[in-house]
Amino acid sequence: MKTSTRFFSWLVVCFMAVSIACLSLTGYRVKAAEFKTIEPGVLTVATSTGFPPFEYVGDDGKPDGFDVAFIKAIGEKLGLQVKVEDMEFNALVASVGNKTDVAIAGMTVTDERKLAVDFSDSYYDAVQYVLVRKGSNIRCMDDLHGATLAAQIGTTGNLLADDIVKENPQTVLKTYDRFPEAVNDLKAERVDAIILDKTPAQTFEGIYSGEIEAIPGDDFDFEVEEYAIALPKGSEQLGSAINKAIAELKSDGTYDRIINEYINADSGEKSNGIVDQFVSAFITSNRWTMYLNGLCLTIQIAFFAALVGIVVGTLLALMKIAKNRKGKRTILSFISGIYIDIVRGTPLVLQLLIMWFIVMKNSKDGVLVAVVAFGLNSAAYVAEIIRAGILAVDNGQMEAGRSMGFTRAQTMCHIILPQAVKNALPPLCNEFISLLKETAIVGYVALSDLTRVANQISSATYQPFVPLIGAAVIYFVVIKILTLLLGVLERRLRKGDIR
Amino acid sequence: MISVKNLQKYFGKNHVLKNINYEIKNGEKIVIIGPSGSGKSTFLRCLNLLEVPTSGQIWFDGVEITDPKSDVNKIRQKMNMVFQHFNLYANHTVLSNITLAPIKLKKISKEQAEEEAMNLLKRVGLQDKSNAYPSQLSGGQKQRIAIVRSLAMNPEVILFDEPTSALDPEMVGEVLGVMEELSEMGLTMICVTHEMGFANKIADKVIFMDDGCIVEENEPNEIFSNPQSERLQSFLSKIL
Repeated sequence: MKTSTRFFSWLVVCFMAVSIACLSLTGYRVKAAEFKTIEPGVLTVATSTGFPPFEYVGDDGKPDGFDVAFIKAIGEKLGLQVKVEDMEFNALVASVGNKTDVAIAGMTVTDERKLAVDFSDSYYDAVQYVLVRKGSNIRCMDDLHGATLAAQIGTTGNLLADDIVKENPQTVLKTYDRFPEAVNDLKAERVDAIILDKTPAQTFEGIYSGEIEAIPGDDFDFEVEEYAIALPKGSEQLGSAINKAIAELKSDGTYDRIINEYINADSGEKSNGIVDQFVSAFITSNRWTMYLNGLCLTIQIAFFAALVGIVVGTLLALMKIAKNRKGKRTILSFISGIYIDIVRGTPLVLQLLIMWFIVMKNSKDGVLVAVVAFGLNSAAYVAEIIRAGILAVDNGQMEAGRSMGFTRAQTMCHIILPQAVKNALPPLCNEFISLLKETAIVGYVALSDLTRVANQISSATYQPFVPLIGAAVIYFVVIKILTLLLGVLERRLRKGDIR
Repeated sequence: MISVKNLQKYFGKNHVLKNINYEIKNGEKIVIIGPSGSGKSTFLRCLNLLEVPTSGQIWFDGVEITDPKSDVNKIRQKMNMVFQHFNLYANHTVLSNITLAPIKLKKISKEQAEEEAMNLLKRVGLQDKSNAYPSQLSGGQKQRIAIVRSLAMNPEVILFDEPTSALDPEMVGEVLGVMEELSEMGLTMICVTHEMGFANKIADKVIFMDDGCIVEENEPNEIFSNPQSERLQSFLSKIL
């Protein structure tokens, strides 16, 4: 049994080496003459689509909108290529300075945000508006007290609503990742009022005219706010270069041109019938290719995460049952037990964010980070499934192998594990199905998987019904196919059991 | 060939083997009998270290196998075991059950290992089962395959741990037949069994164990026709 302990030690060493290699896929920073960007010659920009007309997903599936056009114009002035990363709004501030150079997302300058990031000069003055149902009796600040309010998480509207809740604890605040969902809930009478910026408020009012109306923030004593670009703390050279570019753009007329193109034009599409909705959700500007790309990403992440999960999970299971010559548990089973406890005891979305912002903060490859995070999470569950599979194999099988002269590791490999995997196949199948669906949270790390694509399209069409149902149907079909394939595999492995 | 000195085995506080001393010569057929819980199986399992003795020494071919530095896996290649519950590898075919150890441990080519396996299967009349899985076989067939699996390693010793106890009565004969044939080959055999007729027929020595001790040891006709101790007399009177 000494050799088997050595064998497992080697596995652990290999496992750690792989982990370290993953973690050290670090980004690089090259000093430019005046300021540095994460990638030389490229300005990496964070934004959060779902806030039209400032940022939304364009017909080509890429982020578009006033902010995107504006930052591209700034990039041109600075002589930098602009790369836009789309992520959840509340991930923006954290990403500035490590994953991205700047963030532009209709972001209002607040004291709280100033603690984490610096801001450029303001490029747009906005006032918060309140969206209510047509005929609602909400007209002034007092009417908001005690009502059910909605806001996009992390936005100025959210801060204003927080203040109202503080003053009047009877007030309920619901926060949303995106406005279209909030507007949907407003129409469904789940919320009474949405606090949001003027321009999107007017856009929504135009799309759902007759159903909702937008009331200027002056009626509610909201102050005028300034949109600015978020910069990393202490990045004075980059800040002054951007401020100079903003001033130039305002004086040479580019700014006005972009305002006219995006903000003074109606960018929404409205489609009423279910057929129209289907056409706009799938066919208009070849949107079906976005679902396809999202699906490919979902499958890619799930597949590689499942591989990581099986390999690491099997190692963890073997570590957990490892015994020394005297049949006592070893330090390996202790380590494995702690790992499994921690991973199972914390939410997956936090693990993903910790991996993205802390552990692998220098990695720019979101897919890699997602594969590592989902894989290491799945490994903890796979470990227990495989361990149960091993324990279900009759002890006589191990004794038979050992008494023929096989080592513990050889017996595991040739005799026990094949049977354990067969035993574990139904719960493993379950785990892979969960894994595939759990990847729906990768929007947090700026990846456009199937769920995020559905959200992006519902933002662009302002109609969540068809994209969400469509994505659900796609998930269902993929998982049905996966289940059938695993069923075939299970039947094949069970051929030794025919009686 | 095998010598056991001052062998003690505890399971927790349970004293299972109480200072066993015994010598087995090359080619001897030893049958161990005794009531349940007397330590017969534990004694057998200590011989190939499936149970680690609490104290005492076991020597095999001049090597002290109870020494932690000895290579237990090498020793077991020469001292196989046949189990009460057969323990054929459930995920392997009959042929693969027999050839796995020769191919992986003795590095014999697959063709040669399979040829030898088929020859052995013919001797036990199961050549047509070579592609079957263990779950498709009867108990008697499984046990004959298990014996062939041991033989394929060309061991010096085979330990039999109640090889017929889990079988239907009409299958006991076919397994004992194979074992009788083996006993004529010069292999050393150590067998825990309740088949007294079989013991009488093939054993060179019969050991009677009770309460963790070897109570009596003698040639089979002496044991069965002239038992010395009271405990053996009462044991034999109950089963014969």
